[in-house]
Amino acid sequence: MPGVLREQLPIEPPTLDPAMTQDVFTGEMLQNAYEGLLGWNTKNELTPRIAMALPTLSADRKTYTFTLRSDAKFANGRTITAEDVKYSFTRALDPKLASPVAMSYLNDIQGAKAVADGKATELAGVKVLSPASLQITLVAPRAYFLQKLTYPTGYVVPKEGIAKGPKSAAGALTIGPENAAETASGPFKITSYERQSKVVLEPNEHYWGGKPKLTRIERPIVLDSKTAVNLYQTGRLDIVINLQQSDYTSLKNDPAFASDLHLFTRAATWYMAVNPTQYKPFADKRVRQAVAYAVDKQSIVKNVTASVFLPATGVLPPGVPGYAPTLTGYPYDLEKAKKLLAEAGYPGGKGLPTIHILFPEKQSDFTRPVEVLREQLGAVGFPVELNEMEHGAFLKALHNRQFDLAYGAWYADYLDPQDFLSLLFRSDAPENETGYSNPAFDALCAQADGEPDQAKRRSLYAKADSILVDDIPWVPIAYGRDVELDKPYVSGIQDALMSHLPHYTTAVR
Amino acid sequence: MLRYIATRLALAIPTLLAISFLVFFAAYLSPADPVDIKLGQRAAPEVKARVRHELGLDRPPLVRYGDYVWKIVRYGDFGTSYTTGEPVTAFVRRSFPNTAVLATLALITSLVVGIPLGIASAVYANRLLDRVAMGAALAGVAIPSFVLGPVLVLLVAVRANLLPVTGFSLGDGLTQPRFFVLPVLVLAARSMALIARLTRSAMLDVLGQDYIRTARAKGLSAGAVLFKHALKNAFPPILTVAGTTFGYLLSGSFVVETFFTIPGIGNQSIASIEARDYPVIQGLTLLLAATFVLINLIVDILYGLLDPRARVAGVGVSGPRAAAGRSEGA
Repeated sequence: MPGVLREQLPIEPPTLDPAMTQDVFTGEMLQNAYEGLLGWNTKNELTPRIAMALPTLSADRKTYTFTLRSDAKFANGRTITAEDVKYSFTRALDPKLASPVAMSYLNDIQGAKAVADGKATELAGVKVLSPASLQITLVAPRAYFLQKLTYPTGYVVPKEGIAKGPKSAAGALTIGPENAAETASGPFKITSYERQSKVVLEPNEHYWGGKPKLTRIERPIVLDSKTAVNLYQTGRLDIVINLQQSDYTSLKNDPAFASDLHLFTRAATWYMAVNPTQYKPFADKRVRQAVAYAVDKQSIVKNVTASVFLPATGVLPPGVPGYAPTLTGYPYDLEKAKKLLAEAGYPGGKGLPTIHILFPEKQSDFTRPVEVLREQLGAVGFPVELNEMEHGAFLKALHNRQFDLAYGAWYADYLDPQDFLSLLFRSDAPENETGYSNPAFDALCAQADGEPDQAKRRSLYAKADSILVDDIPWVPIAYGRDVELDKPYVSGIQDALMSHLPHYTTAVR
Repeated sequence: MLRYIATRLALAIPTLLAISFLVFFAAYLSPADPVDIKLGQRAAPEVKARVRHELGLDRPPLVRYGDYVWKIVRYGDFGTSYTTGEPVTAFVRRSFPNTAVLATLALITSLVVGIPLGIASAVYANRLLDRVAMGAALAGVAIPSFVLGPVLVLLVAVRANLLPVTGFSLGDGLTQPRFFVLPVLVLAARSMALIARLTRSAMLDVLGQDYIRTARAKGLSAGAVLFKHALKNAFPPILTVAGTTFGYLLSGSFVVETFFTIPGIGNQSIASIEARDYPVIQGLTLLLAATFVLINLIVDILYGLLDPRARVAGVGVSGPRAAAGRSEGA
């Protein structure tokens, strides 16, 4: 149907509230209906959305001053003001709303913690200067702060629309099907959500950027990817997202689909984490090196991921500032691996306790590579066993450092190297899963996190990445790409490393 | 008869209690922490502790279980969803009708196709019709729905484009029968086959009895013998299987509902399991178990009406029902 885009939603959306959302599918849908101060463009640069331009930064690098567009309006027709921005941030942090993500993205703002802990109701770090301008003050210089504002927790919603919403599980007002349409601030608004059936979005006629080309976006909820492909083939879906690599292999060989298949590069690194805090022999660098040399990434990428993924050489994926194409990491070298293991006192793996590779259950993108990793490590003599786990339990084990090796994936929350390096590997980082600690690395991150000069920042992070690769808290395995089916009559889809952009320019003939 | 019904009812209560206990503690023992599910890994410990308290998760498990059962019995309150905050009963109201429609249509299909097929097979026992029908029935029992569904969809919907790929959830409404054909067929395949096989063997049993020979000897028409004497006596085991089958159809539609995107209990259960929304999973499981128990109860009562011996025996019904129970084995 011309003007109507039908794209499956592979999950039942857990929420329609941008302050609450934490999964990629819901987030990508909500970015069509809500907007914050800043967003992305196709070159992966920050671009102003509700803000008129990128903000100015004070001399102490702690205060950003934003001016808002005068024509930015909510779907209810009211002009978006600085007061709305302040309200939206404060609301996201409200402990009664109990957002799982608000503090991850807004924690750098002065007073955010006090609000989240219930000790204040006023967000001290956001100052409304006039209806169209505001200042955001941080606890310390944070060169990555603006990137964090692009996450849905930074989207702006109207107070009067929220007031008509349902109560969340923890008792605060939220966004449901009844008030989704009038709370919208993006190019579309959610006009209907029938649980277990579909979500419908229609253009927000008050949107400052003008009318999108689509008259309607339909997101039928289809949990089974085979069903989605069947619907696509019978012309009832225009786009199928979230295809697994196993789907890709069979679709690529089918002339009905081959030309509709598209790969999108994502800021994502698939890795094997190496944890010496639980598995003591890994404390010896030679044993970790033996692991790194034993892994043949090329073979995994080619044979297991059907070359959907690309072999990884560092923690930072291409496109994230600081990614260094010159970084090579440890190449596949069976002999060197054996030699290092013998030098460490475990010739042929003799004397090593069993190593368990932990990975999340049921998803072939995880289960297939670990089979190969077991073979490859086994070839050197590592006594490896696989340990498949329910997803939540897997994350918890990672968080508690209860694993020997773990196969996981890290998708950027925002396009900044800090989200990979400082967040995961600094000695004091809450998400440091391997107990990694290196003062030289910590110092580089501390310096880079606040460094205003982008070129200098990049080189500091590149250096930090090379230290990680050498120390092997992770064996980076592959960089991720998304597989998608798009009908030839769908045009104008814009993509960035984080996800597709909202459907401003998408058209269906 | 009343005493019989009362006994059956009384027996249903401990069964349901046992199920609720299992369902509750299965969730309790699962490795995922509900607070982590709600708040994510990164939430501050203070916030986690507060939400844990608000949800009552810091109380001893037996107290929580008691509270859970009490709220259900006293207020019909099955708790609220971790993800949406809605009461669990809202999920049931939304999804149960679809599942019930699907299961009822599948049951009717199974009976309408299975019984005549079984009778015909019994009458023409060991002839070509019997062989073909029972061969098909064997396939029906053997092929699981997660194979039959994709194959049928590929052939009938994708290749031939005769019927839609999915069931009745994608906005085309309940009014168009063609949306029901494939899901009902796939769901009914197994029970259709079971009923056909059971009808055949029950009919063969009865047709070999002395009173049938007597009926024939006194000159009754073949039709009268078959439907008045034989089928009436072959019917109780068929009824039993139809009952348990209905329970099985109601609970066994996870695969069919997900594959055909039908917004029923099975589909909702899968979504809730993926989201680790324990209150909803518990509520739906309890509901399915209660439905199963209720249907068994109704079958037992009907059985008692049809076969006076069952009333005397009271609880432990043996004979055809037990045999039927074995052949069902879902």
